[in-house]
Amino acid sequence: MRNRGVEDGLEEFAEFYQTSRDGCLRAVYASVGDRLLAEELVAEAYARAWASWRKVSRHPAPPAWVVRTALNTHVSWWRRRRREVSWESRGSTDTPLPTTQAASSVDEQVLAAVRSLPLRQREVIALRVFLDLDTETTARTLAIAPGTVTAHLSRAIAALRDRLASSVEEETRSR
Amino acid sequence: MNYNTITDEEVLEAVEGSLSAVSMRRPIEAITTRGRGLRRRRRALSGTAVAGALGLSLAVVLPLSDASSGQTLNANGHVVNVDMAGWSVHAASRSAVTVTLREVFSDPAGLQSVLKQAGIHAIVRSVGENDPDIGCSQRGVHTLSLVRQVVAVHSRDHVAGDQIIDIDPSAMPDGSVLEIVVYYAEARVFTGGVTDRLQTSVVTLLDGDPGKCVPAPPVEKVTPQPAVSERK
Repeated sequence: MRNRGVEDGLEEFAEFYQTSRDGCLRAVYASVGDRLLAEELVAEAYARAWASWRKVSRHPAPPAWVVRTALNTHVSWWRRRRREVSWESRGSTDTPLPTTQAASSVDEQVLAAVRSLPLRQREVIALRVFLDLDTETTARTLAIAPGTVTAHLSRAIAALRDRLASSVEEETRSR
Repeated sequence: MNYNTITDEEVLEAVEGSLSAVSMRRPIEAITTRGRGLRRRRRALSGTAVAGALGLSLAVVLPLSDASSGQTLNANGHVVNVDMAGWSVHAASRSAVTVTLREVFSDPAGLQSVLKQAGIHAIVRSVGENDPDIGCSQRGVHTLSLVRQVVAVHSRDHVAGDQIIDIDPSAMPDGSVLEIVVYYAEARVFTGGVTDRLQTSVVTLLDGDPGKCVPAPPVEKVTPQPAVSERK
């Protein structure tokens, strides 16, 4: 007979972490624009999820809880620092990325386009794309109206298309 | 790829594909160890509520994490059922009003307004740890020991969860005012500048409108948690 309690919770949490961590990291990375910062924020959010697992496990979309917590942490951090950590320039305490996770492993052109979006549009894109959340859950996660999610998504897609098309045209002209 | 002609779905697929090589490297042991540390620290910090110089009060300390949103259903008189992102108010009768403060509290003015609709004269404030109002006090009003007959404060979960305030408006003396102060406390414990935050709420029954809060030195007070405390 299995011993229900903390260890059962740990097993469940471990499975949750294993299956959702990459999506959460990508969502936060796309939103905050810094790879190392994103991993710090997501790790902290998962730690908080484990600290409150009884509650988080009952959440309708626990990965969304993690992403929202990570983004909230980022906002509070940003407010204290009075500036947003820039996409290009990491803080002086950052360490280099391992080769396998280097920036060259991602599509810089697309990420630059995502980076150019306003924060809320980036967040909507991140949740819809990387967590595959529907409009309703995205709205609840960001505490905004479903119609606002749809509007942000529509504007974001239009802006991304324009930005990516412009990049391709510039590349073509420069050849 | 010609981005002028691609569909919305293809734009989203391009975004998804742009980070497909990114994966979380942090081992779960590091996560759970940090989580256990958070639990321990919450228990330790739960005894350090900033009850301040508010007199007779009821206090519970809760960890702060996420927020949710909901829909609002409102009615006239004393039948009020409102669910907002930072709080909710449900009034079943003139003598039974339940206020829920969510783990991320917001919109104190909105809560104050809805409580008025529920027949409760209340002052609701939200105070950050660096806010000069954190140690302020009101002049010309007194706290009432009846608070325990008017208010019961509890939480669903000793470690995490919403804070519930059950109020009996019919037990409030004429002219009395219920003051609800939500404090945010931050504890810097994590390298890289990330902090954990605690939300502390204090409920006080006053014999009149407190008016403007007058700055005063903060008072350190240790309040047991999670039990409701009474300070005389």
